Amino acid sequence: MSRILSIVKKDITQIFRNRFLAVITFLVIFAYALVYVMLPSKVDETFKIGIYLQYGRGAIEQSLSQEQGIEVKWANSIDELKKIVAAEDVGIGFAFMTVDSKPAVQFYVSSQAPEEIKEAGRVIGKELAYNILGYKLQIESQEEVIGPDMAGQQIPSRNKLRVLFLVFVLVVEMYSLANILMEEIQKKTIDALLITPVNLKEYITAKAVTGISLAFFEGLLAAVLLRVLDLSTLSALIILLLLGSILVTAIAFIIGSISKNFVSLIMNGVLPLLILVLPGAVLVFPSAFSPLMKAIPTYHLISPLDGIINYNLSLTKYLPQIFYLVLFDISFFVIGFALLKKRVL
Amino acid sequence: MEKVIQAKGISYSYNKKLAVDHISFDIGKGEILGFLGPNGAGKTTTLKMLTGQLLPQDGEISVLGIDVKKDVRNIKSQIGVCFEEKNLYEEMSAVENLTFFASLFGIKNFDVNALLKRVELPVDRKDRVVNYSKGMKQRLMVARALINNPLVLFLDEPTDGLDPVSAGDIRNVILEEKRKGVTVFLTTHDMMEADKLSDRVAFINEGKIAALDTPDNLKHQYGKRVIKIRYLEEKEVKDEEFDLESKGIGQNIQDMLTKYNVLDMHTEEATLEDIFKLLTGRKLE
Repeated sequence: MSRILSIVKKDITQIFRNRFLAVITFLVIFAYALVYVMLPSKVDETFKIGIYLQYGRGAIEQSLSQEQGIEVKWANSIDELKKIVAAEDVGIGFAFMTVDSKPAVQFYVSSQAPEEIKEAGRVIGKELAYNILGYKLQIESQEEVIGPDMAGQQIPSRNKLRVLFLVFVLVVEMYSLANILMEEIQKKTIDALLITPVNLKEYITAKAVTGISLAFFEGLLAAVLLRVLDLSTLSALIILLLLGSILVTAIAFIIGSISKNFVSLIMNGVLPLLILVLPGAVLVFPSAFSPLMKAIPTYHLISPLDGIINYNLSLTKYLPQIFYLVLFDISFFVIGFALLKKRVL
Repeated sequence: MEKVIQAKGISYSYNKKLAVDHISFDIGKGEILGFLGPNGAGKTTTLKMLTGQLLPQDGEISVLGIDVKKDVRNIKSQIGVCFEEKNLYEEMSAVENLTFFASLFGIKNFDVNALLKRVELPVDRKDRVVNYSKGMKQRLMVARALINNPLVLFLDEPTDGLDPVSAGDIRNVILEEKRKGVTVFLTTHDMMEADKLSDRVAFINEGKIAALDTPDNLKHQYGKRVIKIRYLEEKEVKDEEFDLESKGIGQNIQDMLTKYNVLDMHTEEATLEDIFKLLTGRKLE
């Protein structure tokens, strides 16, 4: 045990003596925390519309003031309405007037507006026109939310990104450990270690302890700085960060074993890095989801992290994902151990 | 003499290429065996098998009476190895390197300064090993091999490429260890070093031992001793060589002395390099 701890202590010293690794490790954590702080903390859910009325505001003003989620900017002329639309101060602009003694509505959208906004504009325009003419819809509409009602409490993208940042911190740590392993093999210091009473099993255990503990504590530090750690998430986050740390350590074993120098290590690490952070894209762009992503180990880490951090869900809801994550951990460790053993002996 | 290392018919192949071919030898307590051979002859592979880094694919090895295949950890705790490659932790200082390795041997109250002084390294240098000269790194390598007061020392080209002062200091440390009763297995391709340090030398070539004996016996058995005379003949400097074992040598030398103006005269004996070349047809490079 004391031999294992001696190697762990030496490895940690080595990692922090390597300025490049030390800087990228902590820079990444603090950079993410900074980005998190700088991003908006709330989602603006109000739909801003611009309105020009040829014949005074009257009833429509009163009607719109009762509508939730709509903010109106009044324009005194069509030109002013066009200006606020072009400046994207509002999503859409409506001009209500009479043309040849007939009521008419003209609506304006920015050239940058997506098709959904244009469609929403048509619907809102018709409804407003209906309202102006003094009609009332003779239907009762009721709304029932299935699942957690997120109305008024939409999750800001910075909170979604926190999950991705956490996984990124773990993945970056993969490079540090892979580098230590690669250097130990290339500089043959491993021969000097294995000529002492240290055996290969102890050596690999020490490397695993170094990798897992570094990744875990950096993940924990990032969790604190990104404000995701509280009493309700503590145990779940510890379990997930630990499983994530085991995963990146096992992958580091593979990369470290097959790399011949720092350049080849970076090259060998780029593809796994891109693949591992890919499921994080779904958090920001849900339409990017593909069932194939379930084959990526980090999908089973990102998905429960998102549920626990952003939706206050329980870890028990993610037992299948935890199971797959453990399977990936074991599989990668077996491969990494075999490759390292082959390389060393 | 108590046999500390015994190798019987050991062999090892890399990808079906035989590196060491069924060799046998033994080394006694306090003896230095020089293992001489050119690069790729099988010296390092033999050393790796003796130290348990590689297990022999055939044959048996015992070190300090312990079978290397059965209890290699026990052997490792009692030996010291100095590698040819300078495999030090270069981001750490000399003290950190030695303290770390001492902890792996479980040594308590390790006196790092005493060890540094022994190999004549400064005790107050706190900088990283990466800044050390080649000679200083090699001294540190030797110090590391001595951490656990080993009973057997394995030294792989310990003075290769060093300046004469550093090489001399390291040779002195090796001889001190021998005087303490430590057995030394020394691989080198420097025949001068082997001649100076070794009690016996083994010539290894293409994985096989070509000869194993004391340097003197090898020289006696395979070399020829000659006397060289340089003289002036009609204002021209000439050389003449006489085999010391030949008949009538005394008369021949006397004739030279009376007939010519002899400039100088000295004896010359075969070097280990000559003998190696004679036995293997290869140079020790």
